[in-house]
Amino acid sequence: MSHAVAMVLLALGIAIMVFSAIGLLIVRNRYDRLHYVAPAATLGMPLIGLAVALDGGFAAATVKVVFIVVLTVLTSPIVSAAMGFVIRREE
Amino acid sequence: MNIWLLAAVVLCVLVLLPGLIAACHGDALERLIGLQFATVAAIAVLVLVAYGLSRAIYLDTALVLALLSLAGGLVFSRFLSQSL
Repeated sequence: MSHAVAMVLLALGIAIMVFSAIGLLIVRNRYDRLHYVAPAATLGMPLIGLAVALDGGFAAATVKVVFIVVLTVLTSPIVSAAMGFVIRREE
Repeated sequence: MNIWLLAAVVLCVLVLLPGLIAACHGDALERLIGLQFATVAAIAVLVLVAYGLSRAIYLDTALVLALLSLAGGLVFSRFLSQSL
């Protein structure tokens, strides 16, 4: 059961990342391009991490995966905000 | 090849590659945004490869990349703007 749920979460996470990659390639505006980093980092990564954690159960590796995902979710918006700040300053 | 390694390959081709292409087009800031996207994709690929191969020690590379992407992104942003 948990394996099936993990597969669904993995497919969802990959789909979100693929769609944001397509969006990244299509748009030309800098702000729009910056927007597409957010769903990959704050939605795609947690879904993939959750899939790995569900399938792996309670183990040391799972704790490390959760830590990596939390780190990515917390730090990626900080970098995005810094880049948005630079864009605004340049205009 | 199990489903996790297959997912890693799919992410490599459909997410990491567009990120790298985006990191080669546009002005400096647009390329930096592409690099940030590619970094997020690379972290996901490393996690999936580590789990697919059942080697917990490989997760350390993803952990280090996640830590360095913050410092790298902020430093590159600082270089591109004299006021940050």
